[in-house]
Formats: sequence, C-alpha cells, structure tokens
Amino acid sequence: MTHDPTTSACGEPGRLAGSATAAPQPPGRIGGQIDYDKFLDCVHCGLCTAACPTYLETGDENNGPRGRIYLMRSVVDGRLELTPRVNAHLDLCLDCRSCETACPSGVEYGRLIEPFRASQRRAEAARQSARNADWFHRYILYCLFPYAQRLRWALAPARLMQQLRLDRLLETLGVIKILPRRLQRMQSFLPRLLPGGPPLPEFLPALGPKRARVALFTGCVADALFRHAHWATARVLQQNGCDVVVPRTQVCCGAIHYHSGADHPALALARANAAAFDAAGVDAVVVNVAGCGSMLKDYGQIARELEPAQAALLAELGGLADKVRDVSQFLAELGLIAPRGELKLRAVYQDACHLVHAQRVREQPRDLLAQIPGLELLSIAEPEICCGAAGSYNLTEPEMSDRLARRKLANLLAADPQVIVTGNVGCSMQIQSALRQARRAIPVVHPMELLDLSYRGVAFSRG
Amino acid sequence: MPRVAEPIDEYLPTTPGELCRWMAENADGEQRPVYPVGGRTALRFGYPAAAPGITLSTAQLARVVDYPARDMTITVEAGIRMDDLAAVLKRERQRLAVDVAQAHRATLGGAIATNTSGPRRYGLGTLRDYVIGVSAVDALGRPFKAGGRVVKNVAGYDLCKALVGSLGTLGVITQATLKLRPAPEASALVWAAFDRLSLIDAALARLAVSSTRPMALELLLPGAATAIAAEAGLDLPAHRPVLCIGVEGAPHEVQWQIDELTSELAEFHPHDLVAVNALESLRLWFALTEYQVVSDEPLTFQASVRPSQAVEFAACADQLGISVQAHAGNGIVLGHLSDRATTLAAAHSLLAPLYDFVRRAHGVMTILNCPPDWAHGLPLFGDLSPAWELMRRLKSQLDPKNLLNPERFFGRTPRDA
Amino acid sequence: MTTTDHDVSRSAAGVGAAFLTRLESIFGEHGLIRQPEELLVYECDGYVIEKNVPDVVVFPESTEQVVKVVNLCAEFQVPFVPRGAGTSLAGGCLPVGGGVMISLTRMKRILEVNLRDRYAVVEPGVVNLHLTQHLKGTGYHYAPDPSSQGACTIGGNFATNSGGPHTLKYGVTVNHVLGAEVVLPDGSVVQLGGAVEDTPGYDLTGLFVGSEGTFGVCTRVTVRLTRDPAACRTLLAVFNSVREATQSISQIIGAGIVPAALEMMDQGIIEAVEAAFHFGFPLDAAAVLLIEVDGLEVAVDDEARQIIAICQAGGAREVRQANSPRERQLLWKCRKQAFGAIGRLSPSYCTQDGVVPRTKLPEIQEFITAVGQRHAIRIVNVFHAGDGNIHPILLFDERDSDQVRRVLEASEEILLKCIELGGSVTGEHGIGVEKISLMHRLFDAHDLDVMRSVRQAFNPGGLCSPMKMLPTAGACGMEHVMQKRPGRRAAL
Repeated sequence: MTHDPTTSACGEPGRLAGSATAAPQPPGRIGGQIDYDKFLDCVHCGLCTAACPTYLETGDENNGPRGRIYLMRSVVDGRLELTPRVNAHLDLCLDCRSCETACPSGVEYGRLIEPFRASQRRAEAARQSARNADWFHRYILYCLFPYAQRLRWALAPARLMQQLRLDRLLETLGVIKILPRRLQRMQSFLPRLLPGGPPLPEFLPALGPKRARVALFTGCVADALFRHAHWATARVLQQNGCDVVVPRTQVCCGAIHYHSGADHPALALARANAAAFDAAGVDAVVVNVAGCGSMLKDYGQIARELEPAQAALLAELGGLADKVRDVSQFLAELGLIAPRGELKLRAVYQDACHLVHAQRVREQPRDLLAQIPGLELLSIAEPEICCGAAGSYNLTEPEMSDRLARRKLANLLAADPQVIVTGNVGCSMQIQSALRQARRAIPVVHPMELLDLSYRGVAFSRG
Repeated sequence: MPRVAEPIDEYLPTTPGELCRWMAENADGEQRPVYPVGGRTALRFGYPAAAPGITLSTAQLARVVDYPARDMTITVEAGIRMDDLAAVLKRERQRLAVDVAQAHRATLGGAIATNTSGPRRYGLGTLRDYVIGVSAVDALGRPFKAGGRVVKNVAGYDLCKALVGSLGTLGVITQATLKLRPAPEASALVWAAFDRLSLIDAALARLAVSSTRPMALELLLPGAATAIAAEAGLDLPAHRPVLCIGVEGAPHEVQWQIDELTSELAEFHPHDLVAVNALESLRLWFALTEYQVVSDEPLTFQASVRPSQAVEFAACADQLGISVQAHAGNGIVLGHLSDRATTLAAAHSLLAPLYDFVRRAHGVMTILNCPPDWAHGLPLFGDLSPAWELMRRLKSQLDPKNLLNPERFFGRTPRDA
Repeated sequence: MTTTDHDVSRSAAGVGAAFLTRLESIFGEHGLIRQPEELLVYECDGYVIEKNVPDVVVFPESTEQVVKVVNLCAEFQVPFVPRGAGTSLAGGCLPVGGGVMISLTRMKRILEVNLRDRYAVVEPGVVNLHLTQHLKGTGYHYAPDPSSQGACTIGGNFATNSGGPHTLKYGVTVNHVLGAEVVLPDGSVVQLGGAVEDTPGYDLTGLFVGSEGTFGVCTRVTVRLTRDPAACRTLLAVFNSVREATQSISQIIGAGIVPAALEMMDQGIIEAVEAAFHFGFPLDAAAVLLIEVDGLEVAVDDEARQIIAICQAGGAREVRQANSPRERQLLWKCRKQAFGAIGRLSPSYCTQDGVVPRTKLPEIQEFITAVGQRHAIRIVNVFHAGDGNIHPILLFDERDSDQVRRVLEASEEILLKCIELGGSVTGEHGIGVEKISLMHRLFDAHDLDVMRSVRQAFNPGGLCSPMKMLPTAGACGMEHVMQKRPGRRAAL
C-alpha cells in the first residue's frame, strides 16, 4: 500500500473540508449501506435498555439502544424522516456498546450506529459549505489528533501551565471561563500531565527467557498524554519475556474520524497502520488504549463495509485486526509472571467501554491486578455504565457527558479507593476532570503502571 | 356465649353442583343471609351477624379430588379437616407448610377464609403462598374458579388471593389446589429464657444475619411460656421471657443449626437454653400453634408491627397483664386479655395504650375474638384505611345482594366508614 | 421541546388540544413526548406482532404527577396504559386504544431498605437487578429473578407477577410483595398492605399483583427481602434422551428435594448456546439439566450427591458440577440468554409459555416433538422444568407464509395440549393481548364474569389498560386484532 495518509486524506484542514464538500451524496437513503439483516437480529426484547447510560439518565426509549435501532430502521425503511429530533436521539448515543454486552441476540449495535452516523455525517457535510463547517471539530480531528507530535506541541502550554500550577489558579479565578466554550471544556478535560519521558525506542528486548515478540501500538492522543503508560506497558511486556517493537511509521487508529463520519480518512489511516505493523512477523499487536484497540480490531469489518470489493485490502486489514490484543488480554493469554513488589492499596478498576463491551475484556485486567501483592481490588456499583468520555462525546454532548461523569464518580468514590485504575485515555481524562471538579485528589492510573511499579519494587506515591 | 341473632338453619350440600343450585335459588328467592362454616373454630372473627340466616356447612365436601404427589400439588374439597389432609400428605412424606390450630376440627376452607397461620410462617410463609387454585360459588350461585393446578400460572386475576382471608364474604370456597412441600426429616426448637426482654431484642437483631435459617422465631412472655410448656407436657424454664427458635431439615442439618444457634445466642447470655428434639419438638410445635387460638379469654387480638418493634410491643402488652406470644420474626403479636377485663369499658382502657402504639408504629391491631356485644364498641379491624372503600366495592361487585356474611367485615352499617 | 400550533394539530389526532395543553402544564417540555417521530418507539414492547402508537407519553416523577395525569384522563375520558421497561412478551404495554402512555421509568428511587424488618420500598421504575445490586453485601436479596431482570422493572414485575428460574424454591413476585401504593383510575391513592404483615381485610395487594395494569398504576412497592443462601451447588447433567431427562426431574422432586432451580435445555438449544457462549456443552447430548441446590453448607453437598445419584440412575451419561462462581455465572448466562442465542439457528422464531404439571413433562415433550414432525416445523425446547413451565421455540422463516401458518397451528396445538394436561397457557409472560383469545379455553363464562366484576371494582370506567387480559364479554376477545403471523421474539 503506497497510500500516505499524511499527505492525502488527513492533510490540511482546508483540503479535507473541500474533499468532504465534493464528496457525492451517499447512494440512496441514509443508512442504506447497512446490512439490513443486522437490523433483523434485534428481536425487540428490550434487555439492552437498562445497560444504556443515556436511557438510565432519561428513561426515554428514544435514548435507548432498542429505540435507536427502531429509529434507524424506520429511517432506512422510509417510515420516518431523519428530523432534528431523531438526529438528537442518535447523537446522544455514546457508542459505548454496553448494549452489545447485554444483548442476548448478538445484535452488533456498533455496526449499526457507526455506519449510520457515517452516512448521516456525509449527508450533513454535503449540505454544509466549507465555510459553515464546524472549524473547531475539524481542526481537532484532522490537524491535531492524527499527529502525536503536533498534539504534544499543542498541549505544551497546558503542560507548562499545569507544572506551574497556573491552571489551578486560573480555574480558581474563573479566567478559564472566558475561553471559547469548547476550548475551555478541553482544558478542563486535560489530565494532570506528567512528564512522559522520551519517545519509546523502536525495539525493547525481552528480559529473561523470550516468550513472545509483540508490536506496541502507541497512538496519537495516548502518546501525547500518556507516554508514561506506554513506557510502563513496554516494561511490563519486557518483564514477561516479550521483545517489543514500536513501529515509527504508525499513525492514529482513525477511531475519531470514523465515529464522526470521516470514514474514508479513517480507512486511509488504517492502511497506513497495516503498512507500519508487520502483523505476520509478530505474535500480537498490543494496544494499551481501549478505544484504539477496538478500532484496530474492527479494521476488517470497516474495510468490508466501505470497500467490499477490495479483497486484498480486506485481507491486509483483517490480518492486522486478527493480531490485535489489548495488553491485559495478551498478558492473560500469555500467563503473567507474577510481580513481587507489594503495593498496599485500595484500588478500583473502572471498565473502559471499549474494553469491556466492544472487546469483551472484563476479567483479564482484574485478574492481572489481583496478582499484585497487597493490592485490594474493590468493586463498584454500575461498573458497566460509561463514564461519559466516549471519544469526543464529552465535547459534542457536554451536558449528558457531565451527568454520566458525576454518576460514575459517585460510584467510584463510594468504594473509597486510594487509586483508580482504567485502561483507556478517554476514561482517564474524564475521571481526572471529574475528580478535579469535586476537589478530590485520587490518582488515576493505567493497570500497566501498577504492574510496572510492582515489578520494579517501587512504592506507589500519590500524585 | 350466644351470638346476637345466631343463624338458625343449617344446610349441608353434598356436591358443589347442589350448592350452586341452592345458592342461586336463595339469591333469586328468599335472599336469606348465608353463613358458610367449616370446622367452626373461628366463627368469632369479625362483626357478628345482624340477621338470622342459614349456616352453610362444607362438612360433606371433603373429598381428595386429585393428589399427584410427584407434582407436589393436591386438589381437595374445602371441607376436608386439616388433620385428615395432613394424614393423606404424610403418606407421601409431604405437607402443607402452614400451621393450623385445632386441626382435628378446622377445615381447609375455613383456614383459607381466615388466613390461618402459625410459628412456621417466618420460614415458610402463609396460605397465600400455597393456594394455587380455587373453586368457589358466589352469592348468586355462580361457580367460579381461578388459578389452576400448576405451580406457576399467570393467566387471569389471582382470585385465590382475594379469597384467602376473606372470611367467607366473597364466595363459598368449594375446592382448592395447594402447593406442597416435602416433610422435613427432623425438626427441633431451641428454647432460650432471658433475664430481660432487651436481650431478646438484641438476639433477634443478631439472628437477622444468623448463619442458620430458622423456620420460626417465637417470643413468649412468662404467662404464655408457662402455658405452652404445660400444653406440650415439657419441663421448660418458663419464668422469664423466652425466645423459641424452630429449625427443620435433615438430622445433621438440624443439629448443626442447634449448635450454631447456641453459640450465636451465647453473647446475649441466656439464663437457660434447652434444645427440644425429636418427638418432644413435635409437641412443642403443636403447643405453640394451639396457644394462638381463642379459648376462654374474653378478648384475643393480633397486632401487626414491624419485626423490630415486636419486642417493645410485647413488653407494653405484658405490662398491662396481657399474655403474649409473638411470631417475632414477622412482627405478629397475639395477646389474650385476662378475665379481669370484664367490661367493654375495661377492655377499652386496657387496649388504649396498645392502639396508641400501633398508630405510632404504622401497624395495625385486629380483634380476633370478643363478646359479640363488645364488637361494635371496638375497632375490630383497627383504623380503616382508604383501602377499605375499595374492599367494599369488591364485596358489592361479587355479592351485589350482600348475602354472604353480610356484616362480617363491614359491620351493621356498611356504608359508614 | 417547543410547542407550536402546527405541532398540536399534528399529534392531537386521538386526544384534543385542550387535553394536551393541560398535560403539558403538568409535565413541562421534558416530561412528555408528543411528536410522531418520538412516539414511534412506544408502539410496541417485546411483543411485536401488534402495534399501536400512543397519542402521548408522559414521564411522571412522583405519585402526585401520576394522580394528575390519571385525573385528567378521567376528566377527558382518555384511556391510559402504564409502562415500565417494555419487556413484556405478551403485549402488556400495548396502548390498544391509543391515549396516554404513563412511562414509569423516571420513578426509580429505592426509597427505603430495612434489613432487620426484611423489606424495601421502591418506586416502580427500579430495575429488578438494580435492587439486588443495591443489596449486595448485605446478605439479603430480592428473590424473583426473571431472565430479563437486567432490564425489567419492579413495577412491571408487580403488574405481571413475574417468575424466573429460582421461583421453583422461592416463589414468584406475589410471594415477595408486601404492599403497594397504587393510583386508581378515579385518581385516588390507596396504600395496599405495607411493611407490616396481615393487614386486615381482603388481600388486595395479592389481587393487584399480576393484574397486568388493568386495575390502576402502582407508584410504590414494598417488597420482601430474602436472606442470601449460605451455599449453593450448581450441577449440569447430560442425557442421551429427553425422556430420561424429564423423568429424572420427577425423580428429583419425588425424592423430596426442592432445588433452587431446575432447568432443561434440549439439543437444539445446546447447539445455539454453545455457539454463543462456548461453555463446552456436548453437542451430541439430547438434553441437559441445569440444577441448583442452595441452603446451608452442611446440607447442599448431600443434596447435590443425591441429585447426581438420581440423574445417573436415570441414565445421565455425565453430571458436572460448577467449580467456581465464574463457571456458575457462565452456566446461568447460557441459560438466561438462551433465547437470544436462537437467532443463530433460524431467521425467525416464536416462543410459547405453557405450563403442565411437572410429571407431565415427558408427555408434553413427546407431543411437541410429534407436533413439530406433523407440521414440519423445527422446535427446540428450554424449560423451567422444575415448575413444569415449558418454552418450546418454533423456528421458521417469516418469508415463507406456509411455514408461518404451520407455526401458528402448531403453537395453538401445544397450548391446548397444556390445558388438556391440567396446565395453563402462560406461566410467566402474561395474557396481555397475545393470549387473550385463549382465556375462554382456560376459563368458562362464569369465571370470566367474576374476573370482570373484580376489575369493575378497581377500574369501573375501563379507562385503565383497556382490552387487556380479559376478552370482551360474549366475544372471542380478538376483535381488535387478528393474529396473522408469529413474530420473532425473545422470551424469558
């Protein structure tokens, strides 16, 4: 694949917006490209409803999975127009896929809402002129997210502010409130940025007898904000006898693009990653961010949806997807070499939706954490309910996002933990933000960070 | 003691069909009040009859209709004596898990109509949990049924529930299907006497999280304890308040629970603790059941409070000289007034603090038995809630001519609250 | 939600503008739905064969608001129907005559938990499982556990007297309800029963439970809490013939053991469940029994041993025991989600909910097999076997109209056979609108007359849940709808 995403699909914002405007209307109705049988899988039993965060919050079936499937299907059937009200109900979906876990019929809700939204966004884009398009959204999507390095620069002032504790001061003074509303919101979501350390080398050798060779996916936002977690992940893999390769040419997974309807740019990123990762040459492509992991695992499906005729592409992306493992899933399969260092901590594990629902990785991280001497894993109420982060949801649906963050925080705090553990950047940012607003200083860490500390015999310090 | 306007005639139908025809004739013709009776053990419940009518006895409707033991259900006619029913079930090592006093006289129909229960209700529930189907005849002579013969069934309204405890005011029960339980291999009662009631209260709170699963949690004040021990023919320590805990199951299960209860109760320092086993336990279960019922006392009441208030209520009643037995785990307190309460006025003043108590506690007190001429001077069913209006509507829907036990629930002037 | 005159004329087809204006003054813009595109999802529940869109949906947050809407309906003579999670498989929430749907999903507070007195007071919109999760760690739980417990509400359970696998030992909803606050169709608020036992008078609580929303709207429920079992053992017995499995069930019950749950799945279900959950079920087995005993630690092993012996004597080729809580959970997940997994066997399916005395299980099982052969319809089975509650699942392709006809005929034959064997046409799903035509097969005219009289006491004007549960007097009960095709459905 010679396609280079950095110069085509995700080049300058102007170009992209232009290409979106120029894109032809999707053939037929909105959602027309969805495999209709996937709608029929839903037998309307309603067992999904209470698993849905937005249904729990509103009690309205229009905001529940069964209702949304009904709405989408009615639009596809031509029974219903895609009015602003209908749009609002669909937009309010977090795509957390908690409903898929609850569904006994195996409905692939994600494979309904995501393509539906993609076609919805394409139709919108076709209606809007480039000038009226949402500059903020596009800037974030196409200029910042794909590029870890750009993100790091963009966040540098924030990092500096945080290190100087200026942000706290500003928050206290309310100065931040005068920022444009959404920049302000982003600011409030940024986690306390730790010095992330240098970029990971391209190769980290196994310690002890070699058990596997893995590639590590580092992503964009995560590499900018959570490089320390990448280091921890790499060290834990090394401790477990893994050679770790970190391909330099890897790019953003494309999830945010795909979820906001920019499906072809997303596909371009997928191709770039397939080229960057030599899937056949490693035992697994390990991901430590839930959102990226589930996107990578969906590459094959997405190729089938967008380019059903291109067999080579399907094989290439499918081949990568098959090798993708969340790090906890991979370590559980490999068999963890038990860490020795004691961490006397009361911890709660917060399920990332894209791990527990999209990837069905639920027990593995808990099992790994349970092997840390001294660590007490507390259970919380509603572990399966989304924290409201959900990719860019916290920017697009701020009110519901905040409601869910408060709900999650209350459940977390009820367990009175000393540390909160979660395997996703988005959740981590959301919870840290909620903690700051509640003026609670509880560290939020990745499971690999705790394992790493235990292997290294380093005591856990708050902060 | 003769009741006011005692019904005079008696009618004994031999088949449900005959009963229907007779009821229809009465409804279309003379419209005399009908007073269904079974074993006549609970005729004093509710308000006395105001007008003479006909006593309708189900004594001849006593057949076992169907007993598929492997299904653990039985369908019997309502006039069957409880002892006879128990004997039939015992052959298959099964039972109806509800305690009914005076079982040699009491009939199943009567037990259902009065919602009789006993000590085991803590672990095993009451008749509403066991009656899965009924056939009855309404006041107009229409036979009707509800539920069925299967243990799980949600077709149609559950009229079984309406008939349980209806005191023969909605229909004459002719037949019932019961859900059965295996008879336990063994049972025992732990009889523990304490110096103070407060210790029993604390022990009951502890037992709410006991590692055992008791079937009965009985509280007996000394008067009741003495009488019950005597009735059982057992020499038990009865001069102090007693907590009596019943357990059932396989023999080793019962023994394990006795040991466990003994150790759980130790921290509350029982003055005496006796485990009553084997045949003796059967006598004690019997005595606990029988003591509930009306005997010679002028007045018997049942108070319903929350279980956590039962000990306090019992103490209050005890101070008034009332002998008290409580199904403490259910918050049911039974009191028998002594002979000292010889007038309505005396009963009134004696009961006043107890009525105050139940009002404060959002509970209720029902008079199970009193001289008929006291009945209209006492709130037999406590303070009537708005639900009573609904009950009147139900009664008038099913018995529009008000022929079946016309006064029993609502008194002489049913339209007055 | 803003209101314009245009909106009013559009959504006011069944109810007048004055009514809607009054309703909006009670509920405000966030407490009410009246736009056609948002009403659409309320046109059916878990039963999709019949549909009707309500004129308006309201979301009361208090008893007072329920009273207000009910009073308004009485004033304007508009029918209303309460709705919980909408998981009914019998059309219990279908707004047959249009009107107002009262969605109770926002009344979802757990108002009181009292462990010493073993009760909890909850609003009707509380999800069944949420109550049990709320009680986690207290040593108590709420016993009724319908397979939909993750979504269905206590109010809905109250209305339909829901069951679940553990009803075998613990009983159904009515056995665990102490009282309720209800709003009657005349707007009065009545407290039935309560936290104390044996409240005098008729057991209106017991009568109200299972009345399928035809008596009024329940706004608070006082439920009994049950001690958690001290121990449990979960067994899986594998049989080479269904008859051996069903006979073993009778043997177990006959031995005086009351398991906490006793479920059967036949080969077709095993195949689907294995494809969905990979438990490791033997695919060549004709039937498996899932048996759970609970009780004291000192007792459960004995009971488990007895059951193993009975199953082995009855021809079981293998009896396994779940070795960890996780394995037990997976087994139960397989069982509870078995219906959903059927989607993997067939494009469409139709589930029945018959009951027979448990000793008649071999007989009904053979009848079902014969019916399937006679109509050339594949039927797979999952039973709450201990209760005799059968769920035959008829597989078909809805695009083939002849198959559809045969499925309907076969279904009816099975249910009539259940009646003939002394059983019922519904063990837990309810009558709703789906089985209303079968009521006169179970009950005669007198029975139904008396039931109508009872309804008359609560709901004299008939505005509350019209045309549910009872057929119209003197007719077959299906005037408002003709069942033309079975639906794809999940079941409990």
